[in-house]
Amino acid sequence: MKKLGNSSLSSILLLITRITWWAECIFVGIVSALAIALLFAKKDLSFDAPVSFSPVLFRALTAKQAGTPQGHLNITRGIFYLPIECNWKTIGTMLVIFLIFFSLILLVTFQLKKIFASFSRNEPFMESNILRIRNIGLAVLSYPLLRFLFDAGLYRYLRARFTWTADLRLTYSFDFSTLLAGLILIVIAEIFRLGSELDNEQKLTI
Amino acid sequence: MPIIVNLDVMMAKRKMSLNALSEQVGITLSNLSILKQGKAKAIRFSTLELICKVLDCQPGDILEYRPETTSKH
Repeated sequence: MKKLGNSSLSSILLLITRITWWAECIFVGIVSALAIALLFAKKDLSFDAPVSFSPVLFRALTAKQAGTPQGHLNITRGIFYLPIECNWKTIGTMLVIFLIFFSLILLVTFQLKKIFASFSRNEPFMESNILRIRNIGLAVLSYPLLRFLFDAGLYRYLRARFTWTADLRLTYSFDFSTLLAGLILIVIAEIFRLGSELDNEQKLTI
Repeated sequence: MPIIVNLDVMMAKRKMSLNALSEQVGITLSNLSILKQGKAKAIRFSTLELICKVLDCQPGDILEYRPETTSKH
C-alpha cells in the first residue's frame, strides 16, 4: 500500500484524524455542558487524587483549617477522595484546567489533520508542515511540564489543608518519555525543513 | 543571478514557439517557462543536450555568465 497521495495510508490517517477531531470537539462541548448542568443540579462532588502510603502507619486525617470538609482514604485503591463544594468557583476552576489540558490534545489533532491532508496530496515537504510538526512537538513537550506543575500544586494544596499523621505522599512523577518525544518531534521538524529546501531545489531543477 | 538564460533569443532565431520546443524536448511547458524566465536553480546536462539538439546550437548560445556588479561609494 502506498504511503502518500490518494488512496494511501496517509488518506486513511487523514480520515481517522478528521473523525477524531470532530469527536474531540463534541466531547469538549458535552463536558462544558455537563459542568454547567452540575451547577444547577447542586450535586456533591468528589475530587480524587492518587496517593502512596504505608498502611501500617496510617492514622485518620484531620482537617487543618476549620470548615474544610474531611476527606477519606480508600486504602484498597490508593486514592484520596476529597468532597468539594459545587459552586461557580470550583466548577469554573475545574473546567479551566480541563480546557487547558484538552486544548493541547485539540491542537495536536488539528495539526495532524492538516499534515495528513498534505500527505494525501503528495506534498509532504510544505513549509506549513514544518511549523505544524514543531507545534505538535511543543504541545507534547508542554504536557508533562503542565502535568507536573498541576500535581505539585495539588500536593501543596492537600499538604496545607490536611494534617498528615502518617507517611502519606501524593503520587506524581515527571514523564520524561513524553518530554523526549516532544524534543524528537522538534528535531523532525528541522529535518522536514531540510527536506523542503531539497524539494524546492529539485522542483526548480530543469 | 549571474547565469543568464538566453533561450528566448535562440527560439526567436530558430522561429520556434515554446509549445513546439516543449513537445520536442519532452519538458513540460511550465518547466520550460521557468527556465526561460531565469527562475530555474539548475539544469540537468541531459536537458541541456536535448535543447541544444532541437535548437541546433551550443550551450554557450543559451547560457551566458554575467558577473554581478557592486557599486562602490
